[in-house]
Amino acid sequence: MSVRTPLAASLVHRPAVDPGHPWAISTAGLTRSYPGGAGVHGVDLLVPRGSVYGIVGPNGAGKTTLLSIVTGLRRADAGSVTTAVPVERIAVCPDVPDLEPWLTAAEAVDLARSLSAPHLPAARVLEALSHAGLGDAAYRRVGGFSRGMRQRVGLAAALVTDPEILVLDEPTSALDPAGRAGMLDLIAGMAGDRTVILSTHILADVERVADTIGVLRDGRLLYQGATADLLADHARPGWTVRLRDGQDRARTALEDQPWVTRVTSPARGVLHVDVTSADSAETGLVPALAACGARIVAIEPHTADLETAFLSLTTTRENP
Amino acid sequence: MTTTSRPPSALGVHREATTVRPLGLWRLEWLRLTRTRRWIGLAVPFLFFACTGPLLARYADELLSAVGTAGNITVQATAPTPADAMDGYTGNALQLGLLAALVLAAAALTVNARPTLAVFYRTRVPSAARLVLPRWTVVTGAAVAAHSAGTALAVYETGILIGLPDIPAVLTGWALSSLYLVFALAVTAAVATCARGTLSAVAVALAVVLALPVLAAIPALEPWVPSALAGAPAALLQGADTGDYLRAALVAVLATGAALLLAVRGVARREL
Repeated sequence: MSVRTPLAASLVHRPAVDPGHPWAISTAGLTRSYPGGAGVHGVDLLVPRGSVYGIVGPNGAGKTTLLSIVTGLRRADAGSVTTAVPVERIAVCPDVPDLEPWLTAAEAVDLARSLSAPHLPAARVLEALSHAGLGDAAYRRVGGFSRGMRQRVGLAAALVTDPEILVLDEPTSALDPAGRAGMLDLIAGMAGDRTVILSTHILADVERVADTIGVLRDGRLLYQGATADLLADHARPGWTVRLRDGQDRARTALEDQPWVTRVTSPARGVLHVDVTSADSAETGLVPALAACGARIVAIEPHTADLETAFLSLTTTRENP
Repeated sequence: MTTTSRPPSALGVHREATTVRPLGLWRLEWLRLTRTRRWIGLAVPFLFFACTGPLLARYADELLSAVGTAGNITVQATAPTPADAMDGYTGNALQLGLLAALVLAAAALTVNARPTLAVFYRTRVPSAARLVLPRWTVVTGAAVAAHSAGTALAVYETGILIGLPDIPAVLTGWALSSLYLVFALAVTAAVATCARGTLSAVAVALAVVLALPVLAAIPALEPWVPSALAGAPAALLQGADTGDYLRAALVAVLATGAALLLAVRGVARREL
């Protein structure tokens, strides 16, 4: 998998490259085990070309290990990685990039350009920085940058090489709300032009920009497919109940119902009720609330969201 | 392509400067040395001892007399020679100067010590040699340049204060001691690329360099151990033969090559 000659020792474990591959990246039975059961186990990743692929999973699920192997930074114990493009056309952007603090942002981005794509004009450096929202800080040294600004420099350093595949690890973790929205718009805008693999635990980000999703837990891929399908297949039916009073009585009464799986209270007078089936709730919810004497203001069905689907998937399905 | 489209006007680029001077791995190392002012830390020991070595040799008698006349003791130094003055430089500069160079080399070559920075380089540089060799070459070149400047200054000052030393012997000594610097920094590169931090790299490299004179205590090994090269400048000025150092020089050259190979392999082997 890797090139190992003494003087030209490769810095990455080079995956097999197949330009005619139907997927941007695929893995087959990818396994890397660490003591205590950590790592990834038999992962068959299929990243469609031109997609925004979101990899989600709890801490320790194996997201970082999987991306490290896919990008050649770690080796696999077993299995294979096949990419449609050589590793030089894959850009990796860590969550908060560590950059030489004595370089300016423009120099850091130009270094990335000259190393990965020296044939591209240097004028792209300022374009990439502007695109990442750092046009006015191009000539400031990176050492004085905030985490969010370093994250933007990292993105510019990745974009300047015009990669066909862009791997982003927690790309919004250090950004303020406006920056986060801008970053997500940028990622969403890349769909079709390049393949983006996005690893994050912020499910709302994935739901907003990813058309394809892979859910990892304990190093195994629990789900892989269209985000819309996951929402349709795994979102539990649920209702939001708004009460004038009697919240505690209502909660107790609902938790006693066999068709209720979970009751949470995100705010005073508001209950979120997850149920096993919509039919049971539609016939039983109002009678149960009426029986406990709660004063109902409104009842409305939940909109299916990725968080609900994710929790449903990761808390109910046994590991294969 | 998204990156080539015109950026939003609200995020406009710098209007004053619209070009960037290309930056590659060699210029990066030059900037590492100059922008961080590390070159000062490298130059100071060599230039300081180049200034003080000949001065102390020239005025040793006066200094010892001033100290020794406090009681009934009279201390008298022998007449200073150019060899003494040059020894005052090399004896100190090749210790503290080497230590400074070793710290700088370790700092530049602990590539994997900062994993997210290592990701930046390792996913962009195609081979470990391209990552390691500029870092090692620039630091080593700077160390040899500092030693050269120190030697030149020491010769000049010695010539003024005492008399010119034997120039061919000085040049031979400079070449052999520079080879020792090159060797020691290659060893540092091999250690640093495998180390988890700069401090541990410095400690291990220093231990290796300090262990060599211990090996030289074994008579059969003495002519082969590269640390002998550090003593060559003084010994050559006192009449030693250049041929005495050829075996140590050969070992230093071979060991430098081997250490650099290890350094390249060390960077590539580590996973992030």
